[in-house]
Amino acid sequence: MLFNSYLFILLFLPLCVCNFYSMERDWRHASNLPYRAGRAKQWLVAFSFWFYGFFHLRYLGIMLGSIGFNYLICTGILKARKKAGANLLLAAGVAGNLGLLFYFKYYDFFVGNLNALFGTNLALKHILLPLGISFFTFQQIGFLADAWRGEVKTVLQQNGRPGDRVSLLDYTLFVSFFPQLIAGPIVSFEEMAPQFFRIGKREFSWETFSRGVCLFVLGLGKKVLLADTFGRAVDFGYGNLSSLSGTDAALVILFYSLQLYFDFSGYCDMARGIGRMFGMEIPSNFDCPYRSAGPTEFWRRWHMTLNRFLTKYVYIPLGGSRKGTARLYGNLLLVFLISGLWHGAGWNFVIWGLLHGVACMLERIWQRGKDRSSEKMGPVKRFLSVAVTFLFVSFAWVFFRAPDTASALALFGRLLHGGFALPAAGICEGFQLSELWYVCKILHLDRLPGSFLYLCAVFTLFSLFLVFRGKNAQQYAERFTPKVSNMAALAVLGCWCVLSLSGVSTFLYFNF
Amino acid sequence: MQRFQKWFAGFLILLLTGLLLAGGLVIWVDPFFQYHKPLSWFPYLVDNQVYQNPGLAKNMEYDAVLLGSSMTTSFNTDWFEEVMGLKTQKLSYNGSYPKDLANIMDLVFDAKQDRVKAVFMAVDEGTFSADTEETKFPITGYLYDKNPWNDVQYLFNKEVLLDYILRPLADPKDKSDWAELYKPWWTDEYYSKATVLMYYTPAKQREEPLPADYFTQAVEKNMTENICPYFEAHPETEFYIFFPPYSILYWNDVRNGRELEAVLNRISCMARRMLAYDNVHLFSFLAEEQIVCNLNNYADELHYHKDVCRYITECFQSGACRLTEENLEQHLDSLEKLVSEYDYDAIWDDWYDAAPRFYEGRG
Repeated sequence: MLFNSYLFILLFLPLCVCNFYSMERDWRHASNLPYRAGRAKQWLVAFSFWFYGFFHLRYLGIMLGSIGFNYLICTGILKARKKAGANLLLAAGVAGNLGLLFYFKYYDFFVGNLNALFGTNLALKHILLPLGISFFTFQQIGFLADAWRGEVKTVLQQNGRPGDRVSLLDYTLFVSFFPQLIAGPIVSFEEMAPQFFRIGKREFSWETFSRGVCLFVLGLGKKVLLADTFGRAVDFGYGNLSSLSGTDAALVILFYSLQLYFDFSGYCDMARGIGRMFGMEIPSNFDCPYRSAGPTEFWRRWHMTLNRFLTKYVYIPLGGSRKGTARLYGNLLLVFLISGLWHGAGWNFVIWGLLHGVACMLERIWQRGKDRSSEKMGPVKRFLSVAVTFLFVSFAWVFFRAPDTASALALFGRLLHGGFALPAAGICEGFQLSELWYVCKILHLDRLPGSFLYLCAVFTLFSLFLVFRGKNAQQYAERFTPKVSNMAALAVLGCWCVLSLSGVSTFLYFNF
Repeated sequence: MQRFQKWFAGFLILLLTGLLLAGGLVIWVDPFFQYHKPLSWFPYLVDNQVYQNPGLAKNMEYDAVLLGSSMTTSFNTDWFEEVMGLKTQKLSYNGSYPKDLANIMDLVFDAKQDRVKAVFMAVDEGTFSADTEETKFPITGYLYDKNPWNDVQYLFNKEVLLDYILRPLADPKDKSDWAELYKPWWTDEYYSKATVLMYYTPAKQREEPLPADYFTQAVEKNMTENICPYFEAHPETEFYIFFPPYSILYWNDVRNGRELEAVLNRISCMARRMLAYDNVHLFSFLAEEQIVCNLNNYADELHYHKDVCRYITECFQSGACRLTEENLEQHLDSLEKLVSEYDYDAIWDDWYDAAPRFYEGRG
């Protein structure tokens, strides 16, 4: 199930939230806290299974298997009396998780490369990749590492629980909690478990709930109204690479940067908003990343929880920046190589990751001995740094979006050799939204020359404003004061989003 | 009441009111005709076959239906009432495959049971070797099934509201003529030999001829799964089926592709299967020289003028061009002779042929 679906918005979420609170605050069992908390958590777990199993029942089986395996390993680690036993269990746990990820995500990539390299003819499996497998696998690897380090024990003890065991229900909820299940953020036990432990003991807050609703609607708007609109132009561009002009290629590159940001950050906003509806705080994953003045800052603001994971569990254990310059650069490249592969099994993702790794490395070299704080930059220097970073990130996204490296290079080829021309009709068509037809009609804009460009231009400028100057959705949701105006505006936006979830495809009928 | 509690209550009331209004408006006007007959005063825009045909099949009043590809879109359904006395509903799917025909027949017979007096259907022989499950366009399941829950995609749909309810109200001149649904945009001037030749690119020459039985198995399968079951299940319904008159340029492509024998076998196979049923009236206009050899009847190598459609309608009544088991071989022979012996090179000698259209002005 997706957040941006009728089923989720009109049935799943209201049902889940209402019954969760009725179980948590069940007056018939007012004095029986463990019963109320247990029921409420079971309800969340059951709904999380429905949420995930809705994609494919097989996916649910894989997730349940993964949860069972990791639960056994973590119980072993928590109970281990000798460090060597814990080490062995951690190694087995990490290997098991990576093995699962390798089988479902990387097997074909690996075998395909073997075949290409050695001329072998090993069969590909064409396995359907279970959604969110990278998220819940990394989350559990992090959890095992935390258990091994003793951090899980500390969290348990701080919350008045025995430090040598996690309840299966709490663990299952930690992994499967549906708001963060398929697109992150990658949460840690330390930040989620104490919140789960408080279920049943908390006071319901209308303020937290309303701010959650607000963030959900804003995220939904980013996804449905902005990302999907840019997505239509991007799909056209990548589907018609050979016929793109240089202008089209530039627009496709820009539009994909906007699409990806609104899509991913919109989904994370929705996840955080839903979390708040349950009275829980899910960590932030985006902080206006395109306003970054360098690649390092970009990675502090983009997909922050992945960056946090890789820093904590890969970069720092490898020595980080403490073991000399050569090792620092090596570690940086390795972290970004892993980041690239985490995002997808393909050489284009490897290239994308390494591009960012090299950019971060160059930035470190450039800034060596200088004051690193971009906050202290003058406005002109900061403007230029932001512009250059955005350009670099956008160009790198080409490798991320293109189906393969050859297509990415073909798009760059069109950018350089396609020449200048007005944007293709296929690029602008996706922006001709039905609701804006009336605006154009009333203002007679449709009679002006080049009218098909206006909506595309308005959308792009508005989105660029949001990205570079506008208020962050999270900040808005955290700070807004309840007024009739924002209540009405949000209700209209919510309606608009729900009504935009489905459309009417038009077909060209000229064919026989 | 807390400020945020009030805020959320107001938000929820507004949101639900907005959604209920939107859904209510869709149910009331029902531009895809899923729940009721069209409102008499509303200027409906009917331009989307995949989305609107299911509702038309379910909720319109009719005695007969006209099914098929774009070969049927130029028909005026009033002619069927005038000539045959049958109130007919057009349910064309441009480029339709046999599975598209089966899908819409399912809806028609499901809605009207045994009250369908006649089915008029164009069969494009070229599509009958497709996969039996292939449809021209993806089917919008929620409009074709009986599950009321997935109708949410219709009820809360911005484009239904804006493009099919508000836009027709704002611009009622676009309203569709019920008798001429889905009619092509070509005006009379487009029906000329010069236009046809301008946009025509002959198919490439093939070196090896296609085996004669190349299509037979697929055709048999399509007839067995998608067409014949309806003849059997509805003996009370008369099926008027016709092979449409493609222009001679279509046959030029068949000849260039060296597939004439295979195509003739395909037609023969289809015809034999259909002629086995008493409630099937089969017509073929494939070899009607006055139509197919006069490119002024066409807007491209396939699509003929509505005057030709009028003639076809009259043939359903008069029985002209009807195929029977007795004349089938003779018909295929004349088609083969026409295609094999026609002087194709002469077509390009005179782009501006002044020959009048067949049945000119009758449509």
